[in-house]
Amino acid sequence: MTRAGARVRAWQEQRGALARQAWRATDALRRGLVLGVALVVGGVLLHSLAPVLLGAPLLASSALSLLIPVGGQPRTTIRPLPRTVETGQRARLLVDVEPGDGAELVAIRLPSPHRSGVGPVHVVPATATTLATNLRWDAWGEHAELRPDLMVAGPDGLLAYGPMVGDEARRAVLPQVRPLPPGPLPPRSAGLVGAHRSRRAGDGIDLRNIRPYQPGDRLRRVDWRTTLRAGSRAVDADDVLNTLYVRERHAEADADIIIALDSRVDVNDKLGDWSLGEPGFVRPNGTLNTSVHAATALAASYLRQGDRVGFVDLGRPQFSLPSGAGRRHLMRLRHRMLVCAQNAGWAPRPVLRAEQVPPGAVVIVLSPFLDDAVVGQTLLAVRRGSVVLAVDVLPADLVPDPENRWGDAVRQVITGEHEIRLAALRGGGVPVVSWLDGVEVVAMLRRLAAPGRRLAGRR
Amino acid sequence: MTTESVVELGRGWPGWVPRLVLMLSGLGAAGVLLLDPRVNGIALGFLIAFALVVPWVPATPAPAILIGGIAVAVAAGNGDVLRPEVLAEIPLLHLVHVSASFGALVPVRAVIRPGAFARPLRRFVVVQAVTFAVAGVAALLPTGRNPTVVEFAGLVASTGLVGVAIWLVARRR
Repeated sequence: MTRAGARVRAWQEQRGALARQAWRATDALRRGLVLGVALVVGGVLLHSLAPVLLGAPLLASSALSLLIPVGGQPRTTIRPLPRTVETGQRARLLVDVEPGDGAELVAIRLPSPHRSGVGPVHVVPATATTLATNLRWDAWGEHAELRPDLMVAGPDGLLAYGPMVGDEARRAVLPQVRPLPPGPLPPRSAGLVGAHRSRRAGDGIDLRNIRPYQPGDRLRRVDWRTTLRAGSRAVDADDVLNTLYVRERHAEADADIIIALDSRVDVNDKLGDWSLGEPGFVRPNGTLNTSVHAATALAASYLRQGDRVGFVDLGRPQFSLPSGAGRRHLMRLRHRMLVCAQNAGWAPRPVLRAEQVPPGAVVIVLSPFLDDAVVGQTLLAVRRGSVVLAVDVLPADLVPDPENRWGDAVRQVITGEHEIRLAALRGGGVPVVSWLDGVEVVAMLRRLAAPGRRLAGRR
Repeated sequence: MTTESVVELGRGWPGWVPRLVLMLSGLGAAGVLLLDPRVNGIALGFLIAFALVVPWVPATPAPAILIGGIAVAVAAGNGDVLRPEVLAEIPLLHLVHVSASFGALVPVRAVIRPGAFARPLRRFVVVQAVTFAVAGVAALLPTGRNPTVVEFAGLVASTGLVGVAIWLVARRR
């Protein structure tokens, strides 16, 4: 289109938009008036009653409609909803409608109570001042959930206002938290609080040892039963003091867990669909969806027991989040995962820097491991001294592309390469587990935290 | 806010119902012409085909062509002025007009709350009652040559009606 043509088109669109923001006659009004008058007048002139009787209803209904005054500017007001919602949450949506004078019908686009999305156009009588529907958020992410396009019709639809395109409302739907049974993690002694038993002596609950009294020990730590048993063998007063025994306890410690999410790839089990992804779109059964749910579950479980959780986006390092604790940190993490999912896309080089991983932290890498670079970064983290756990989120049974005669061969190549990468990880000392509701991951973390295991980076 | 003013969205008629009514009334109006043996078969076929097409294009001049074509075919027929096909066409053509106006406004995938059409339905019934009352009065009036004064008054009224119609259309444009 030429520049002049584009300007004419823009002018026409602007004129059309202005015309829609006022009451206007529809084609039906012209039809009723023109046909009605033509039939009635024609019948009179031809002295024939039939055309008069056929045209009279058209003319009468048009005239009746015009007798009802229409005016005012129709408006809708949406009552406030929570800014952030959870997957599976429901809410009641109330919309106040001011249809204007003389309106008979209101056509408004609102969500249907049974489906998510902006919904169909609902045609309701203009006497309704409040429209109510139930909202349901089935999928996490940021979606357009409301776009109240509005059109108001006068009597018999002969006069109309609109249609006006409503403002699109978007809402952040946080990924659902599916809590896991929290397991022990290799502790680090950065803090003297937490749910994990440290090897050091301290003020915890678990008994560590019973030993002779030393200067500095508190008297309430004295184990009188053991002391009496041992004191019965004392020969003088000095010897009694030497035979005081105290109960020594383990210190408590927190642990750091770093969740590294590979947002560069989002694939499902159908190989034919792998190339059909769109930016900002998360596949319902894709690896990114699984990774986000896994990350949320792990974060929620360990934050609940007082541990510190950090987040690293391997594809977009600027969206990483330093370690933190508490419920607010969980909300922060879930919001950050939403941002990551919106900006997810292929990046050739995953990033997992040393400064992103605190000393002694457990790194959980959630990835489908479809390229060598992510394997390299995982092994690099091990070489830096971190305890690393690789969680493979690639679906177990890949389905070849039925429309491609090489589909099965492609599947075999991908599966074979994937197996080689996992073997390389195992060979580098990284335990690899699949995400099956997190059961395997928790079991592996328990094994990693076992006392007999020598853990790199642990103080 | 009263309880009655709150409308719960969800269930209702599908948005294609006005177009279905348009198709049925159009087919009915065209089918009534079968009662008149003098109506040309080709013209009748054309009108029936048009009645099938109109629901897909209700916001075009197609409904006007359908109504006009059927009205001309009825008016061209000979016989009693108040014969059954004329009386049947009065509500059917009106229904074509009203359903076409709603069909042009309501999207096919819309959800229509049944109460939405209560007022248009009442208006339809009132207009039809008035029209049939006029037809009843016309049946009682004597036929024959009109006095000159009545003819003149009729012409003036017709001219005035055309003028008012043009003014109304121009004012609402």
